[in-house]
Amino acid sequence: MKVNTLGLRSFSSSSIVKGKPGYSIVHPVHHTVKIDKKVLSPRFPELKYPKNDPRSPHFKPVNVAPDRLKEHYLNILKSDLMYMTYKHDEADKIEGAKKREWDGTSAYHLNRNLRRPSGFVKEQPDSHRVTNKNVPELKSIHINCFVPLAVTNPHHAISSMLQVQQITGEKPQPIYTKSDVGRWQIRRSRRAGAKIELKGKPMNDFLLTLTELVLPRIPEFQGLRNKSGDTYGNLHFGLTHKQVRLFPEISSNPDLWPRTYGLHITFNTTAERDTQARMLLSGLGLPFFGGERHS
Amino acid sequence: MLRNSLRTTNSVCVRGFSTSSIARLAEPIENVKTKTPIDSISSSLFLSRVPIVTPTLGEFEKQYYKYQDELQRRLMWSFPYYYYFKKSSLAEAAFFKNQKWPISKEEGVFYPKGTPNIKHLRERSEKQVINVKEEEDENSKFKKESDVVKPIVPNSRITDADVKKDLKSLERKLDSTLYLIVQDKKSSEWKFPSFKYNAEERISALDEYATENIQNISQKDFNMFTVTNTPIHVVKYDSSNKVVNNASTNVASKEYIIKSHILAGDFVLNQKESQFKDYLWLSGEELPEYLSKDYYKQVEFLLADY
Repeated sequence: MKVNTLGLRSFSSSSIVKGKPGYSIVHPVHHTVKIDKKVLSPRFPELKYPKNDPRSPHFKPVNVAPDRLKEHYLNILKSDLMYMTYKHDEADKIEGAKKREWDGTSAYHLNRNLRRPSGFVKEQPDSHRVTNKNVPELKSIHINCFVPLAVTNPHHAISSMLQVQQITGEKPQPIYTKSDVGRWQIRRSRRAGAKIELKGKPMNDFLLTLTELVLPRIPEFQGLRNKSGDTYGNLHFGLTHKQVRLFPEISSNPDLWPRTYGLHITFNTTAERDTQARMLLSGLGLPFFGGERHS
Repeated sequence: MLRNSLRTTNSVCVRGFSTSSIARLAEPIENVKTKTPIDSISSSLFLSRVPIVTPTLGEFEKQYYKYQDELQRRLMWSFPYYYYFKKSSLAEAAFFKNQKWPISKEEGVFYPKGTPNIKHLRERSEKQVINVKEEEDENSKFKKESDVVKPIVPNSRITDADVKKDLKSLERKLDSTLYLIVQDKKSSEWKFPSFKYNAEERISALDEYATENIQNISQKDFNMFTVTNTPIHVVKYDSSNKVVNNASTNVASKEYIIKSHILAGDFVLNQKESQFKDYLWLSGEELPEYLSKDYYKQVEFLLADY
């Protein structure tokens, strides 16, 4: 093999690009270009329309009714959140801890991986001052319904999909197990529950049923924990299989539901910190309780 | 992250949250010499009642949503009766009895509304109508459902206060934001309630001063939520107490506006013990009738869309 002395990348190796010894197989470029045959073929012209075009067979009307939660957010909450998160004389951007260079005192520093950020294991994202351009907003709600029972009995996978579909009114995706764990009776790539990402009107409708019908009926419910959150503005909480029965779609027809399954719910917001995400969600009608996590 | 943020803020010589020493150093010297007297500062309250019902739709919006809704119903999947009713059960029989089934296609028949196109007991060119309520038998010995269960009737969007045009009621104009304005005893001008600082009193923060004073001049108790302690706007006045709109005019007094919402209770002005003689709860559209032109120009951008 010819050694590349110019420092240019050869197709057989990526070592010079990464700046360290090693080997990698770079796939030829022509295999990575994906061809959308649907677009090239003249057979089904209506499939070429985008999904929001009424001529497309995938078309689904979205604006079927005014969205009261969205209007509440735009009219009242957004300006309040901006005023509440505003800090006088705050810098436009506060850089999070990033990986550091080695000082080069040792010969072994050459080609070594960068040093971990000071005080953290992982790199931290930058945080920005809240202005009218980046007021925290609810992006999506993820619902995850993992049912380990479904590995041994596939009927549970179907009824968990149905449960999530009934609650949200949208089509869920199946969850598959990832690993083999004999003790938990889990085997790889078996269907084990349902998941869904809600956005827009279905998301707001789900949040309204949750805050106005379901959570007030749970006697022991105090609120979301102030400690919940991934520190970057996404909050989580769970509902047990008994609490899921309080959704109107299930409680109105209890005979159909001999068994229900617990859910994990994640609120995915554009807020950069948990405190801001909590501010937003409490404005949208979710109560919080308990002490905060100090980090 | 906190450590990092402190480092950044200190480097540009602004105030850290734990100390006020840097703030003193950063203050320009001219400001210290010509310190504004406390009497010339007042704290004003932007008290609003948020909308209680959804906004009233216009004719075009109604038609748009109706069209989209009908379109969605036409494109919907057929109702899965086999999921809700067990096969050959009484409930299924009752359900089937209630339904009006589509007309099937027959040879040699002309259909004026189009040839039937049926899949899974459903006409595909139209929306599917499901009849849930059982037809009531007049001769039945049982009571009718409508006699037992009280029908749900939504309350009117137009309240008594709207009919009487009571501008002091919090129950008017349910679909729009209402703002509290008061009329001054001396000048008879309408403004958001504003309280001048008194040099002899203990000096408190802007938000505390405004909220305390508004509670003191009300006969009834109410709960309010002050959004932030940072003022959302400042209105400047010259020596003749006129609103300053341009930077060149000398400023004699300043009015800082604090934002808050009324949550519960009612505000009723105690005229004897306050500097105001009257009060009104007005929507954003009605405000320009009462506020002076200069003042409205200053506060217009604070108002919500509806």
